[in-house]
Amino acid sequence: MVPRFAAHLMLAASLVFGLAGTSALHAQDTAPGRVSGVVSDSASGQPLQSVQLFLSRGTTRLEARTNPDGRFTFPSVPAGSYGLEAIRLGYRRVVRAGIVVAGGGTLTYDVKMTAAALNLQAMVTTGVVDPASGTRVPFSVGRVSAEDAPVPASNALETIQGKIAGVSVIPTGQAGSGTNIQLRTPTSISKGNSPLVVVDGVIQSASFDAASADLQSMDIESVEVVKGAAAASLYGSRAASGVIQIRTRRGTGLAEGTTKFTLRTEYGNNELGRKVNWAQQHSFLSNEKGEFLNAAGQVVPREQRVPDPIYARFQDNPFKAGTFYDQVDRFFNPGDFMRNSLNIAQNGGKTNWFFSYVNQKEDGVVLNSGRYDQNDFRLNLDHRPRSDLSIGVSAYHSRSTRLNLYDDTFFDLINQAPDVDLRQPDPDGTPYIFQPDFEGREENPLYVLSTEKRNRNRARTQGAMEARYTPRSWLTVDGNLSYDRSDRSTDFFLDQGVKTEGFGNGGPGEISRFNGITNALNASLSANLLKRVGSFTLRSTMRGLMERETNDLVNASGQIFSTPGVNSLNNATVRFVNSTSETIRTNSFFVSGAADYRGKLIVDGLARMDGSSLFGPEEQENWYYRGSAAYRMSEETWFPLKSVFNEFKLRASQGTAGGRPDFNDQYETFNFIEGGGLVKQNLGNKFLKPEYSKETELGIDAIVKNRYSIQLSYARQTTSDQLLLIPLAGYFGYANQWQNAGTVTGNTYEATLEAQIVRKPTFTWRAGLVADRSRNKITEFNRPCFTTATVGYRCAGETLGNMYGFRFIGDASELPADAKSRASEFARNDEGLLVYVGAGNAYTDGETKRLWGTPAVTIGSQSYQWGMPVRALDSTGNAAVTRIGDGNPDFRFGVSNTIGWRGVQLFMLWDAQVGGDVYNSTNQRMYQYQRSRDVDQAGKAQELKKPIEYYVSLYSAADPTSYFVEDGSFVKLRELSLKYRLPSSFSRALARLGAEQASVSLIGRNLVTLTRYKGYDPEVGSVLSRVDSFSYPRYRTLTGSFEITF
Amino acid sequence: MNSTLKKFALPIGLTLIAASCQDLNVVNPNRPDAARATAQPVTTESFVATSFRTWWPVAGHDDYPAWAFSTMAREMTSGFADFGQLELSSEPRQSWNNSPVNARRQVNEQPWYQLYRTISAANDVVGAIDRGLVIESAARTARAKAMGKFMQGISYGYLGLYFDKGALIDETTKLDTLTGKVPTFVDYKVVTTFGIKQLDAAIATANAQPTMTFPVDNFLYQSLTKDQFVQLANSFAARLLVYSARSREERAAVNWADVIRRVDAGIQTDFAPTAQPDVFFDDWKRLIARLRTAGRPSDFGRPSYWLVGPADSTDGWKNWVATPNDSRVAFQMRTKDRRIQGTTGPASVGKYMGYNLNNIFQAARGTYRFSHYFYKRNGVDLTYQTGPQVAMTVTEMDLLKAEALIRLGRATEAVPLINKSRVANGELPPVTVDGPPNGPGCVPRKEAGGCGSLWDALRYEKSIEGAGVNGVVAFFDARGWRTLPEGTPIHFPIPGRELQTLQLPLYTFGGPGGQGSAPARDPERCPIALARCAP
Repeated sequence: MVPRFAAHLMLAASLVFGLAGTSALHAQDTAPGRVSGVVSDSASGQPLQSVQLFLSRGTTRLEARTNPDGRFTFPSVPAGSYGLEAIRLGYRRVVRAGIVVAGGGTLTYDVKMTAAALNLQAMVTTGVVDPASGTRVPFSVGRVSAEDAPVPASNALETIQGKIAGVSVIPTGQAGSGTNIQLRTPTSISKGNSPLVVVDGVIQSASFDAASADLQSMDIESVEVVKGAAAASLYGSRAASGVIQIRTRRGTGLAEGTTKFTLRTEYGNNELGRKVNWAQQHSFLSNEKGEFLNAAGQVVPREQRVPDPIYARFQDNPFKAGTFYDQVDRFFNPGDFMRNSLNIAQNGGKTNWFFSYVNQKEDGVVLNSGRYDQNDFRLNLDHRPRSDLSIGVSAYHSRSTRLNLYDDTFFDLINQAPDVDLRQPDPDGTPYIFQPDFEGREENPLYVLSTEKRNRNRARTQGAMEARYTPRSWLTVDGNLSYDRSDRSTDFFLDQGVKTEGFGNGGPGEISRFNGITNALNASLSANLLKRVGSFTLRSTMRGLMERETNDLVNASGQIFSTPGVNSLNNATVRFVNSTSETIRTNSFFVSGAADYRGKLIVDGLARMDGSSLFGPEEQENWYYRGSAAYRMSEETWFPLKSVFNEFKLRASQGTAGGRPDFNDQYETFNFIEGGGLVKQNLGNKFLKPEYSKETELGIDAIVKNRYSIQLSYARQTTSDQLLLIPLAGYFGYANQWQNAGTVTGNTYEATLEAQIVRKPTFTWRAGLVADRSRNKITEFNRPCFTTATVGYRCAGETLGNMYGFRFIGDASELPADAKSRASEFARNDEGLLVYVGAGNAYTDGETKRLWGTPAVTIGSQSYQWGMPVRALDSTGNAAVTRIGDGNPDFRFGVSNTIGWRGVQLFMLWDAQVGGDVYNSTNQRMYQYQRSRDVDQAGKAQELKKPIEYYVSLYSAADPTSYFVEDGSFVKLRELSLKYRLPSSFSRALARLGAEQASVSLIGRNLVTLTRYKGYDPEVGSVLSRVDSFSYPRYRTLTGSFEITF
Repeated sequence: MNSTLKKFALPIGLTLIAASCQDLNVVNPNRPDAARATAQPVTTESFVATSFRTWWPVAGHDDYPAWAFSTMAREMTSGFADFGQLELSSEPRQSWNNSPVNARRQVNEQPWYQLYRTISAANDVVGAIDRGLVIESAARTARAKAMGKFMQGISYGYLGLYFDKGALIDETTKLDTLTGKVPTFVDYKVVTTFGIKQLDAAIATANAQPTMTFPVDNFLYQSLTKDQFVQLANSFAARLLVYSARSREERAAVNWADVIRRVDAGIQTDFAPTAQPDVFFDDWKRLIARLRTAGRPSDFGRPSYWLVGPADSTDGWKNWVATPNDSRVAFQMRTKDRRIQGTTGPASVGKYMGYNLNNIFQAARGTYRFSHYFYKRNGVDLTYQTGPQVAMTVTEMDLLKAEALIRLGRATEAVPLINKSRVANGELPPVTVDGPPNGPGCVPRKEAGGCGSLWDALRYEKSIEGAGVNGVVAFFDARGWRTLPEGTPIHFPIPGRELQTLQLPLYTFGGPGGQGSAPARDPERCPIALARCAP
């Protein structure tokens, strides 16, 4: 209880400080003077608008802004000697001392500012209690500004992809699904590895499905990323996976007294970027016209066709002309993409505000299905009633609707035969036939999508209020109150009489409604102390925080309708309901201290206590800390390379952060089952502790000739007390229990380079390179090893991202002993797989000697079928389960280039992944019924043809096998933007309409992917489980946009 | 201006202070915690009332392990892999892949964990009652205990049927002492005997409360009197006695006199719990009759030729059996058995099955899996979700008794028991101790073509009547009758996941020469000397 008491004290103290400080507000000097001047760009000499200037002396701090001519004025300045500070986004901060203002006089003072096009020089606000220049921060902070993101990302979080080192993003396919992000190495085996996201001070709740989906499009001003505990300790038990902070526009960039309207419209289309190749041949008896035959050689209908003889059952027969289809073309269809926005921004001196409305529609690539529609409203407002007080309010509301696809959509698609027409009408009047194939594998997904109503609606409402008060030059008190509400609903309706699985004559009707509401309230109050003592600048912060979150879900469903056509739960004769309600409470406080010795030696430390209801009573309070230091060697007089390095900094940071369990994990409860009654499910654990992540980061930051910046970082992270769902022995009656066990260690090397290659008034060229290599390993695991869904295996010495499964052997030395003694009866085929061929045969003899399909031969305890691949066995004779792949890439890099020439700006982002496997489960399932192009044999030398049975054998009844592990390396042109600012002749015409400027752009997203991967896109699955399993394919978007500013 | 500041600072500060005083202990409002649930007698009763629902799916009334067992027994055939059937019924037979990575690992995981979950619930209730818990009245308390013992009985019984061994954990076991240790696993025979012992305890508990009744809408989903409950327990005991045998020899060694006693004391009408949509239903019945498109029935699995073939009066079946496995193709039969064929020719639909020309499976998965017959006995669509779902028939019990009588040398007494369904349902001429009347249309026929024996008729009758009732009994018969294909696992090992959890070495059964592998088939050898019996 002591920490909680301490928190109370601290909070009360902060509050008192804040209020008591107000008494000093009215201190003023007499005989004021006047200071004015012009701020201009040091390179071009052009005046700079919207520069924020401060004159400070003692407790006095005056503020002014430049107008469109770059002119500023401090109209009433008490006489004395002042320090001047000039700040503008995209420029390096200017600090001047010793500006003497005479009483009643006017001082003209011009300022030149140098563009800080290097992100390293930009101000950092994430992970620090007090905004500081990136060159002074003792840990690495990734940053993307609006200028680096001329292509609005599909999801705001994806803005950082390829632009910040150490960031892995696996985008989801269908618009509105959110995105998967991992920073550096994974910290958690079983829980999420997604970073904490903060938007305009609002800590984003992540207690619900696809929580990042509502951040679909934004008016981003900057994104900052702190990647691990070394920097993120400030955020405590939610920050083990790092923090992403997004700031949206606020109108501060405008000249004082101006208002700006921006209208932008973007229109284009979504289309599949790459196709998966489908089989185009069959393996049934047919004549030269392509007609099916029976065994007697008679032409028969498709239903009665018979397969080719088993010794030559190759899929190499062409379908009858006009009777086969490319089902990828039949199912996928380019859809529209549209994004329209209106921004209004105003800077009125003491008040600036920004309003935006964005409407986005995205059809995706599935024929007539899956449309996404989102509308966002944002209002940000800052008010500075006094130079020592600022208040900011941010509000955001987003609404979206999406036509969801059903879970098996893409699985059903791959089961359609090439010779059925998915777009033929069904006898029941539906535009697409329900079951086009007598073999009846799966229903036609086009029928299902056109008959099911499956809508998803979401709304997100966020608000934040921030106040910052500086009653003394050494004291700032700030408070933040943020609110995040998510409303989610889905409705599903399948009418009575509509055909569905198991009901070929029409089903009984099914309906469901889901409603989820999440409310999150976060508040903090802090006191920040700043004091100069001799050559030292000392900072200290105390902050109290609280988090309250509720998550309420209600689900109702019903079936067997009384009457068709009524989309109401009342229509269902059998109904089910369930609900859950969750509450999360957290109280925290932290204290931090930092010292800066002459701007060259910077040390920083903090300690934070989190108390959270997600843990049992014994484990609720947990401590985290951070200690970091930076040494700016370039500030030393003896530094030998000053002419080359404007900045040379060594930095080191170590910090801890936590990972939390989910709501249910601590409770020893029973589950209700449908229709009443209780069953045991997972055994709760009230002794759960947080996953404890400790990260050490070392790095070098350098700026060369004010044109190039280099950031090199090495981070090593260890996360102990992993939260693991440990399987329990069957007789406990419970399947699993969450326990703390195991440690994951990871390390990352990162490099970020920025270059201002050309910086001329009419020609600019900026380039960026980010590269990283991450490794992780489970270093300790004192529980029985276990497998996870599909391919994962958790055990000491294993990586997260590994793939385990069965393996086909390529060499007779791997045969079991009794078969090895008959090694001459095996041969390696043209795919490198060892196959049984029998004595005196070659693997190419299958057809000529009619060996395909001959009875299996038993050697020892195994049967071997002619020509078929052989699984590796372990020492006990069981099929061996071995490591078959690893989804972790060897390294990744991204290259961006921004080239400006007169009115034209070209931006390109290429990024690449080298190494890293993907398990292509989709292709594996396509072997099941010979749908994969791999099964087609036409064009192969006759003796190398394999029968369809060979591919079914490789399919292995969906077991994970080495055969379907593919290299996921790729090079991708992720973003392209070609923008043309309309020439002055047009501008003059526009000016008559009141317009200032207009531009047109050509924009591409996900344009080109170079890879050998066989699926739609190697960026698939989740970061830790790179399994391609029927997900919505990533597609390309190509659009044109027009933007006009008033 | 002070007031402006206060407007912001005060609410935030006060909110924080108020919040920090708030207790961080949050009660889970969604589910009862273990302490709350077991403290309430009626809630405690609900554990046992629910337990039949957790037993039911893995007892052959859902996908796992029914598809695996039925197709291994060659009762149903399927060209699909969903529930392990493709892997386990492929020929030649392979050993079961017991790896926890096997995509079909639920074949043995589901029954193992689900049966132990059922046992755990029953143990909690029986233990609580033994410690003095009273559920409203002595009669109601006794009913809960009887139900608990019954569920322990059929759960251990089915563990004994499916697995080579199991750990005996009951209400007297202190689970705390087992944490982190490997329990003692005992042989399936001990497990089965333990199950029967629990059934006898259920019978004794019920008999002590003559007025006991079971409600219709939970417990056993069929209203039962005390006597009917006792009969059901006896019938399950009869099943366990016979079906636990792993080989012809073990089946011969069954205490057949006790089987007769149990059957006589067993059910007098079919045990048919009533389905409730999405709460309690028989998914096995849905899957074997699944109908995707009108006119294209039974598209997921079909009755195997091994099941219906003995009824064929043409040479189709004989030739099919004589053809090498991978060269077999589906054919049309002719039969007098009205369960398979209607009265208007070979394409007409019988009472239980019908003919359909389409090949619905993939040739690449073996044309030996093809069948032109579809299953329709239980209807399609909603019938598995509503109404009675027959789970154990009087016919099954009659035929168990008939087998007992034959084995005990009382074949003439077995004849009328065999003829009951044969004549009424199949509309076939009655058999005698010499088998069906000799003639070209005799049912059943031997694999080589001649008319079958009384033993063959018994096996045929039990197979054709049992198909579709549940998905597991055919396998138990097949291993005891020696009709499983060589190399088929005769039972399952403890699941790989459980072995991994207990850090025990992986092991498995089946495959050529493997342990727990069925020997070569020898289906027509009779247990006693009968006419037309091999050798």
